[in-house]
Amino acid sequence: MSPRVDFQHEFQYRDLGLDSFPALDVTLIGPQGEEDLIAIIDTGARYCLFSGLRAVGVGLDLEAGRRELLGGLAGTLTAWIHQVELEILGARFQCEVAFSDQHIPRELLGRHTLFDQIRIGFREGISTGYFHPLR
Amino acid sequence: MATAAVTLAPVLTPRTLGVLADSLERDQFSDKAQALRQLLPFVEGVVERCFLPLIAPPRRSTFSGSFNRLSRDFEPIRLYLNLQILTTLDNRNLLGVYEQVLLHALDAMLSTAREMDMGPDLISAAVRDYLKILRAALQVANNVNAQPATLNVEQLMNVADWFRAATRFDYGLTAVFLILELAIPTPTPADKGALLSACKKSLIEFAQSTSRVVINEYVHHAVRNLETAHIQIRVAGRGVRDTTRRPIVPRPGQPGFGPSRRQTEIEWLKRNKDLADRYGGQWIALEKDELVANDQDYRKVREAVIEKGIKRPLIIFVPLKDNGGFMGI
Repeated sequence: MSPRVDFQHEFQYRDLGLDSFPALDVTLIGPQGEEDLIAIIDTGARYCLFSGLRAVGVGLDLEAGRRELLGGLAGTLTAWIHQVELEILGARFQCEVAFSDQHIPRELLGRHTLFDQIRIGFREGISTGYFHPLR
Repeated sequence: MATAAVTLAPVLTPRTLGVLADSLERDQFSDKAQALRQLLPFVEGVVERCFLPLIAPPRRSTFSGSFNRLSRDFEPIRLYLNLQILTTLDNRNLLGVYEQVLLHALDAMLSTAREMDMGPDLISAAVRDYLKILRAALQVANNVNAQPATLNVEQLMNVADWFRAATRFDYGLTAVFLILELAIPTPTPADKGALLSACKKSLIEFAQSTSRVVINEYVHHAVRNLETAHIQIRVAGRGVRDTTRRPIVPRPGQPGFGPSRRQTEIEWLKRNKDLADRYGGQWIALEKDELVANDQDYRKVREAVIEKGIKRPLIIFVPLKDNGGFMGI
């Protein structure tokens, strides 16, 4: 018998200028502020990665985080790891996320501390994603 | 549902008529664009006859009294204009074309509405709700056999109520657009409040009357979920502030699209596929149907939105067009 997986939410890929992506709108919740953004779901990324410019706005001291070098297709970048809360489709998740200290053209939802709290599925042919918070 | 089409095409101002004609011109329909432009003197006459008196009412007339009287006068005019447009556009997808034009015009209007304290959230929600109801009604109409319907007297009166409610809403929304286009003078703060309240009330009446005429689950769903119904306004300062809004909350255990609090912005992004041409290399901030700030400097964008009183902004970066396909960071 084939395995069956249930999801609470179905979403359309998000348009981000040139193309549509399996992306979700995310609220980044820091100690002193909140900000919404749209992040691409990247199952190959270790961390959720956001622009370091957002840190101040949500009340984080960027360089007070844990420093890590992250490798990507275009080389390495320095990132600072912080504990924040992410709100996605109405559910909240405590996560360790990375803030880049250099410009990044896209922001990502990666695996570390997030993917073990959610279930995700994709149907590329109809540009549809599936999301389920594990509780 | 042969009457469905004449409830379309609200907000025929000189400007929206021009935008509609330009859109036809771009699509290589020069003759149709020219036919629409020939309506311009008539539309200008309508502004003078039906909308200027709303802002400068005769003595001893209240705003709501003027609104009721002038929106009744507007009924035959609107019918004539819509029939003209239907004839001109022929078999084209009228709702699709008009929806694009209206939402495009709305994008530009909302920042003016914010500057003028004209309740931008209410205006944006009212336009989207109106289109949502029309889409649902037309979906039903397109699925039924196009035989002429036989109506009893009560059904006919329901259709008449429906048309009146649509006209009242159209009248109110057209007045709002004319104010934002600076085509008629800006009303007093109290009259801004009265006008927006009249728009909200007439939209709700239109929704209710639609569900009496088009008895269908699609329509009832659209009518039950009006965003406008949950937006309260109050007169403050130079105009009107939106004060309450029902948060969109997920229904536990219910699968379905969303529920994203940013659905309006996601739809805006979907409509604006040329973002990279216009804002490539910049950060942009969106709030409902409005691009509220853009700059290459993220800090400037954030400062601009905070100044506008937006506590939880949606700010995203638009990559340059020549960056190519995204392959990871």
